Amino acid sequence: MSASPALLAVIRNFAGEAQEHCEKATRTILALELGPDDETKLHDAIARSLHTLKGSAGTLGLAALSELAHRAEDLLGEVKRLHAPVKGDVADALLAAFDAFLTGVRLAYDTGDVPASYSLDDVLARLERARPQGEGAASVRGATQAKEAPRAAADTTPRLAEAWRVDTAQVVSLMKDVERVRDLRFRVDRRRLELDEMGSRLKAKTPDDRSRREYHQILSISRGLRADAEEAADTIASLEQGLRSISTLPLRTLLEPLYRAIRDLCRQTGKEARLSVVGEELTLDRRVLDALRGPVVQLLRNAIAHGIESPEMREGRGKHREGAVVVRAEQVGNTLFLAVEDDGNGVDFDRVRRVAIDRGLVSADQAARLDSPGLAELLFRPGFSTRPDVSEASGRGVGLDVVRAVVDDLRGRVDVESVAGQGTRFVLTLPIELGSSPVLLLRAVDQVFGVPMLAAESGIALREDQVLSGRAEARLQHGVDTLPLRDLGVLMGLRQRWVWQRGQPVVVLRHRGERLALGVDAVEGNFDLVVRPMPVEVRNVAAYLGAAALALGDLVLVLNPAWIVGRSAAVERSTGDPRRRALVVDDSITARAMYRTALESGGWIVSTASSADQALQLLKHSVYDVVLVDVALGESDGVELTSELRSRRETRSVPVVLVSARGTERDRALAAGATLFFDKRDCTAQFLREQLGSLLARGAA
Amino acid sequence: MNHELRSEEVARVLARRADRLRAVPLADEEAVVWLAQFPLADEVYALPLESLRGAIPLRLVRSVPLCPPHVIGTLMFQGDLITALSLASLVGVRGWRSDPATLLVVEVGAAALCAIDCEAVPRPTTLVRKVFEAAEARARLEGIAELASEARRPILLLDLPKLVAMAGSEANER
Repeated sequence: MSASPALLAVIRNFAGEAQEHCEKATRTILALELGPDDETKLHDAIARSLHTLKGSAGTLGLAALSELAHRAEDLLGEVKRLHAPVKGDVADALLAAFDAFLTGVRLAYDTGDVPASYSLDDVLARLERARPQGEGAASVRGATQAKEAPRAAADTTPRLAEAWRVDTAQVVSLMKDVERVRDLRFRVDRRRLELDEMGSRLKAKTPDDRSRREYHQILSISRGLRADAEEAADTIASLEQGLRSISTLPLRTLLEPLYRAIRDLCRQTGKEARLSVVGEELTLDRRVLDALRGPVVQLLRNAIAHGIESPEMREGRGKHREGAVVVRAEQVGNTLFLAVEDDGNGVDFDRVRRVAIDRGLVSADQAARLDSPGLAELLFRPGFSTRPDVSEASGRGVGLDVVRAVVDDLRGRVDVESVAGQGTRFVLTLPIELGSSPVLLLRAVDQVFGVPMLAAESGIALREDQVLSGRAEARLQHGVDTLPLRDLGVLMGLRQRWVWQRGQPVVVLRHRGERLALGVDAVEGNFDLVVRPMPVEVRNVAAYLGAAALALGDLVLVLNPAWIVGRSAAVERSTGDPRRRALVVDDSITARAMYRTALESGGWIVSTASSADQALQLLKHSVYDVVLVDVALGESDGVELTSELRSRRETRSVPVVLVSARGTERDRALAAGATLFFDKRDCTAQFLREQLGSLLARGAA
Repeated sequence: MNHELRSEEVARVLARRADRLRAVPLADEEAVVWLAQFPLADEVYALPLESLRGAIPLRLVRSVPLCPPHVIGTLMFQGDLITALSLASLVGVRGWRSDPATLLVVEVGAAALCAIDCEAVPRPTTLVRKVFEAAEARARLEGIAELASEARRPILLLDLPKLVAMAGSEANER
């Protein structure tokens, strides 16, 4: 039978409290294992935790857990009385008791009681076996119970909560609302700029007293809007700061349980190792911390299982018998560098190479060409392991690929450095805030794209002697290496081909050991942006990681480095594709979509331009079978563009079709040299395909 | 006297009529659904009014290179990135009078939103629920269904998720 909602709410609140007590007690037990001077104080701390847990569990009707806490109290009491050390079996038993208590509370989360199938017999037996042998143990137990009874009664009064427990979903919802308010503020800024512009036009048009007064009124309103927008920005910043403090935790909360993990791993493997932590005071988004828990534990497992040698082997090698494992965290700007390092074996890359060949992951030739970063990449392949045996600690090859997957999801990177015989270092590079990443903005044609800064290795200004033109693709001579060289505009389909320019900015991108040189028109700078995933309708377009809002709310598309680096040169070749090419020049984004739909369904390759200038730029480097031009091109005129095309040698004979919603433009269009004139109302998909098809057929004839 | 009698009689008749109307609940056949109706070229399309979330200007859209042609681009709406779709590309390009310049933000199920372009801001209209439901079932299968109405031009009810799925499949095949 399910418990009442009120009881469930209390139990759920208790679960959080129980977790804090269990974690605190675990830390204290690990500290006691080191044999500190203030043993009594630490004993008492554990005893208080057990007492509270016992009382609270009893009050909530969780009798089995209350009994468990009581038996753990007994063991601790004996240990203290007999001055026995909290080590080995005693520590194991106490740790197991706290683990079992916490598991039991979590099981009671949904129903209000610990299920009957959850047996505590093993852990109770363990607590019994771990009791140190000494006189009067049985009589002390009864006395302990009698002495504690009055205290137990007092201590079972539930504590008032010292903090509010907040649902994660509510905090995330608040964060979204803050982002919406920020967007609203950008819109206010835009309106203010429009108001300013209108005011200037008003002033310029009729410079009489009345319009001057009106202009000054508008100016005054605009200043007021700006002040309001700035106040809104301050309020938003304060809200974000407040939310950040709720949604972040110190790295310590991730790292402290690792001491226990190392201890247990050493007990399992018979090795000795000490964990040191540097940088635990850094604060991170809780979601990043939660996501990192698994990978960091996996890296520590690897350090113990693969890295640290047995104590005897270490002594034979002249090392201290106890190995050193260090977790080091450092923040640079908005980026976190989290390193897990050990002073053990190091990675035997020759062995990695051999195993990779044996398992068919690479051929012998490929393996011979792999450098250290390339060999290190093999470690992250699913199922890869150099261990012949499988143990609880390692050997299944399931770990590092999961580390890589989690880090990729966080838009980070993981690198490996290792020296045989000396040790290994894994470095995770991640954005500090979930969703906020340093992004490098790059311009191609009239569009700005972003690439994650973590993928950008370096930037150069192109020299002519660096470009090596091959049969398949251009390559860049970069130091001693040659890299594939691609143009961002061609890659994104914004232009057909590109002629490399001296001084052109080139960014070297790196992804999973592969590199590529990306030529762009301009580098616009780097910014910390909140990158949102693309909407579901376009999420399968591999080119994009997501999109981010710049100041004033403009969106920038963030490119996927894996897609850029992995792009085949054959796809970008503009020659050799037999399909017909059309250039559509229309300032309306919706009209361009309709033309593309109509023509691409007929097998055309369609490029688009939103202005006459852009069209002329494209026509400089690309060849089209037909150009469709809207008569009304915003600030320019399609008829004038047609005249311009007719005056240039290279575009004189290209068929130009002018399109308008007004049939009255026909004569003017044909006089300017247009080959055909269409009325937009006639432009069905079939009409467009048939007309253009006939046009080209006539031209070919 | 006769005049007063007639007035009383009329009052009684009206009272009885009012009682009858109050007693009879609105039959299912008379329940109506509100629709948002808008033109595209020579056609008139409709969506359930309750699915509309806003009408916004086109200039907020960021084009997305390499996307299928029915995707105009993407934009931010109330803190979320949504897709702007070309309605003509979804239903078939049939010519147009003026370049669509308005975006309608529409809920397409489970709190998911997208935007479609149209030539003019929609106007509300009503339709008998039974007629609407019959057309809705057909639209779910084919993406569009004609609504039987007394209007001069047929009104075409849209099922956007179906149309988007169909456009996506075509794009994948190509």
